Amino acid sequence: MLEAGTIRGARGLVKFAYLTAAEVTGFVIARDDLTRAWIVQGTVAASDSYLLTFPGLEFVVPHKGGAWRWRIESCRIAAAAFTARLKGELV
Amino acid sequence: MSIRVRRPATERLELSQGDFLIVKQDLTAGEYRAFLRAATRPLALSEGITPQMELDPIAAGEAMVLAYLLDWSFQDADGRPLVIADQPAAVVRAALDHLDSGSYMEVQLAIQGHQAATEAAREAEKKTLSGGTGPDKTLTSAA
Repeated sequence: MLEAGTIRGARGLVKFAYLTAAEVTGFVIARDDLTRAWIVQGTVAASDSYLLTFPGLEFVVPHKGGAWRWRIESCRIAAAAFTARLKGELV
Repeated sequence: MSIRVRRPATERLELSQGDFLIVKQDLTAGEYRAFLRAATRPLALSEGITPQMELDPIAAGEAMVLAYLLDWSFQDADGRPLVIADQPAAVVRAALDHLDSGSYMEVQLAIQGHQAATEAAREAEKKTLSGGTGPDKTLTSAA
């Protein structure tokens, strides 16, 4: 489980099963001081508005040996800005 | 009324030497169009004749592999996992290009066999369902 700190990355994916609902670049995962929720913010490089409406989305960060995954509680896209509230644990 | 959107599902295809592939069970319409686009090339015809497309057999094989393949158990020359899951198409294509030719053909044949089997199963399902109830693969929107 995430406890503190910030994670930054060049590329993350919002996935519904194996389908990509959005590709997010330049993302930052940090804890909101007020709500204590983990929030990811970044820029949307590509998105599928249909898939983004489905429950069970995950935020996936591919890395050399595989991928880190978090369940998404809620997300929104405004212009090219992506924001999502994550569940604190890695899937 | 019938259900026309399938829940995304995967299948594991067993290969030789204990290896396996994880592939999409089906393609969506968008994925199928992308596959067709990658598998064909425009035919050069004389002026005034409606342009047509021609299947490129080399490109078609690779396009099918790229359309279906999600993950595999392959390792690189140093025994580290050759990661393709959730990687951009260019990374997957590069990984495929670096396989030995025999391994690549094994992958392609496995996926072609899977595609043919899925198509046959879909046809059988259509026959079963004609006049019956619809499939139970429902995709529920949260919107």
